[in-house]
Amino acid sequence: MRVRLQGTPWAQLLAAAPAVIFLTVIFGLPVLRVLALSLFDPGFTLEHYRRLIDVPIYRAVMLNTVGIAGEVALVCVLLAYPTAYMLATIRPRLAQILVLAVMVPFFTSALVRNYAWIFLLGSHGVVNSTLLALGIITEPLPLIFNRAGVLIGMVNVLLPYTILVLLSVMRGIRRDLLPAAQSLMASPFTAFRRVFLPLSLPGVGASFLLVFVLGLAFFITPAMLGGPHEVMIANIIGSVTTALNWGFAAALAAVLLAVSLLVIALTQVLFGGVGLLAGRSGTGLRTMRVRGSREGAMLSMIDRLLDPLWPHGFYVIGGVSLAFLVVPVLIMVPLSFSSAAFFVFPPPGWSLQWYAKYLTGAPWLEATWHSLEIGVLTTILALAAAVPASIAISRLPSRIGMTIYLWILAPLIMPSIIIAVAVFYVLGQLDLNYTVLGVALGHMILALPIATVVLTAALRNFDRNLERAATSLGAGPLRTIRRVTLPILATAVFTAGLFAFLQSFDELLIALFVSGINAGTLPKKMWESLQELDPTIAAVSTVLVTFSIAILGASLALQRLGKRRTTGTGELGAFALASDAPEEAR
Amino acid sequence: MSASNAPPALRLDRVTKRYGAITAVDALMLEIQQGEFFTLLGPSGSGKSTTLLLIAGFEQLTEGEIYLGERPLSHIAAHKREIGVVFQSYALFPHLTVFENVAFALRNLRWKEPEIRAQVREMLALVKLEQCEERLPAELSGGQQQRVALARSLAFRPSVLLLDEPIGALDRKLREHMLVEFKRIHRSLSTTMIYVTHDQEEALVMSDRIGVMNHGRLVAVGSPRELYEAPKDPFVAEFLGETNLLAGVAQPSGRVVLDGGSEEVTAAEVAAPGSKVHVVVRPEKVALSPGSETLDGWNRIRGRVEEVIYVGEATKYRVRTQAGALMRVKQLNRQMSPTYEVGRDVALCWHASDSRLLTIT
Repeated sequence: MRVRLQGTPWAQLLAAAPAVIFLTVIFGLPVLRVLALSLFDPGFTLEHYRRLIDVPIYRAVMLNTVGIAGEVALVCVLLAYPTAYMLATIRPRLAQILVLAVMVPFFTSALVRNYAWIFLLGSHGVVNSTLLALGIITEPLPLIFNRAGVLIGMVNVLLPYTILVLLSVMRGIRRDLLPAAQSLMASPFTAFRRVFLPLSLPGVGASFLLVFVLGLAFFITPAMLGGPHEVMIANIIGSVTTALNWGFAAALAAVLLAVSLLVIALTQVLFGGVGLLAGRSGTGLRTMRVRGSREGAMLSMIDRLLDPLWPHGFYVIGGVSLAFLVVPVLIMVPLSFSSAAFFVFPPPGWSLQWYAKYLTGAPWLEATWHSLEIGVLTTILALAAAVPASIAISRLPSRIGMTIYLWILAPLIMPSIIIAVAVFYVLGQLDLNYTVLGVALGHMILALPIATVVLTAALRNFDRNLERAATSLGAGPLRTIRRVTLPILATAVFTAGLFAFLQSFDELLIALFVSGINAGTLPKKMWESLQELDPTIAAVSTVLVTFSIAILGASLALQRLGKRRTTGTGELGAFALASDAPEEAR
Repeated sequence: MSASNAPPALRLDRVTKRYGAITAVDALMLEIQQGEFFTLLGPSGSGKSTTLLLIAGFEQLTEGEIYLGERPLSHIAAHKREIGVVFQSYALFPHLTVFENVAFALRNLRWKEPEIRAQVREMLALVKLEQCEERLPAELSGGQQQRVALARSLAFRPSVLLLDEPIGALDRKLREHMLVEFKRIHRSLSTTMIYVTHDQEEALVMSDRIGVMNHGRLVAVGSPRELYEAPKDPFVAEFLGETNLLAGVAQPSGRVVLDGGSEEVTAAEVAAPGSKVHVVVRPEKVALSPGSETLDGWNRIRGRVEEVIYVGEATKYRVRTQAGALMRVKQLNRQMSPTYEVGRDVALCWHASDSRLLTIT
């Protein structure tokens, strides 16, 4: 695209420069460089791609990946639609409370929730112990380390995202249409079927495809909850990279990326809903034009059958979905206070021994310290780049501003395993692998776009006449920003900082590749404890969940404060959508 | 029509709606006749829209009952009431064409395809939108959307049609045009229509009868002329057009001594001697004159011009009476009309039959 720079304010471009340059050097170029390795390692060759096709195991993994992602997306949409409908139609007060059952899991790392599933569904887990004790079964059921385990875990990670996307779609449907349909002799269910459903279908299609794309790139969940048959493409990329087989890793990454981009393009063509990825709630979705057709006997039977269940049937599914989301987040709390020497359910007694072990164990404390250090550094760097970039985006002519915005958001649609591989590569070149700064730079790739989404949303609501007023009262441009713009945006900046920090604090994949021993983070330490599975994990998880809830609470409080100051910090849902599930699914 | 023996199309019997401690609609009693164009008029928050929602079945009654003909409605779901509703926002289905919007109710009623087609065409012809069948609502202008909404709600031939501020979102010129259209359609179908608005001008132009609501109560019901010329209530007098309320005390002579002075006036009615009253007189009934001659049957008080506002077809004056009250006067601008400048001493004159008395309770 040719961008006319004539007449654009250079100061704005300068303000956006740090963010753009950073992403180009640490993210854009390394990704391209790594992808190029699939064709040039060492000289030009198609060998790596041939291997992909020729070796049966890789074909199986790719089919597996598509199959699992498809099943997960289907289940997610089937559960999320009734849940979102419930949240969109019940009393707003109640909805506000129930949405927390979506938001809290959303802001809890996938790692913690996967651990919870192991504690819940493992052969000595909560479910099996209970069923055995009740005499319902005589042998533990294989609920985990198989396809079912992966599906449960992945649906649990992606369901909050699906619900939030569909909720924003449904909130975009005008509320007066349903009473209008009823005044035209449609029963409540018929009104839903003939009006609400067709209007929400593009959102359903878009969310299915977007969840499918996110599912393709899963790494942590199949590794933790799957068996040998549930290996997905990201897991292969990980192990091949660790073996430093760059060319083949690159070929796998290229395939994953190509499929992802293809599906995203398809989403845009079919439904126009890619804005959903950037947290643009519901806008840009096409309206499906529905041809009129006879209301036949079949439909009339369906109506008569479902009318009495309406909408309670949906509410039941919604309630079950919310419980499914909340249980793994809360189950770790009682387990962490167990007095047993190893994991048993129910806990024989209560004690603080596992917290004591966490707080006195040198490796745990060291990992926590690294995570805090990296988190703070990431936050400072991300804000330093995101604040000026967001202001520039809102001031620049929309085409240039939008181009910069999309470039900054690009990492959000990039499968995180590819980011991790590229970061591993570029930090190796810069000799920054296994350092705190290196991990922070890696985390910044994702923290920067998240902070930018938050800030841009706030700036969209910012009344520029306030600045014009300041200028007319004699304040220069810098003084205006310092005395007017930033104070008003303070809550948004703070919120952006919280999200950036949480993103870094929960991140696993990049840390797995580049933190090493010298900068090993808490999630990495948890990951490495997978074999031991002692209640220390439960204690750490409880701490992390508490931490996530605290950050969510703080950002909700800030949002309220921001509204009182007349410039809202935008919708929390919008930030949430863009920040995805904090760990996996990016 | 009020004299006919036919049962009312719609009857509201002590209709009450409470939200917690707030009474939105307070024991409404009302009968609306077959084929009548009835307007519920009131300021926002007066309960008129809630009344409409209760009739349509989107809100549940707290007390009382609504009868459609002989049939009580309180236990009948909204979609079985067979009452048409035109929403202020139109609420057209964005995914359906104009044709399908109008056919919506007919498909729910499982009409046969040829009958649907014929009825939709007839309705679209009625609102003069035959050319737009295949368009989507987003491709229509505001006025066209309004007409689709009207055709849609009339298509299943409801006996009663509710219209909730249906032209509030249109610009002024289009509003006047739509008022004429509503009247034409009402005449040609003779459907009973209940029209909710806060705009007194719309109400006066459209209605067979108007019910004025305030604070959840129906404060007056009558024809536009009755309510305008002979308001029985100071709220009605002030809400329906501009008016002057002059406080005074009724005399045994039948005349009224205005407060703050000794000037006496006569109205069309008399009040009990000694009672406190308001003399009500519309601004356009009052003439300004420079002289001091008195005519039989005319009231005359003195004042000084404080403000002159030219509004095109007329000139509005604000005149301070000797007693200190502010009178509004409206005089049509004709070539020979005298004009008065600010500060000029004038006489305010009106015929006794042009003013009413309201006893202050």
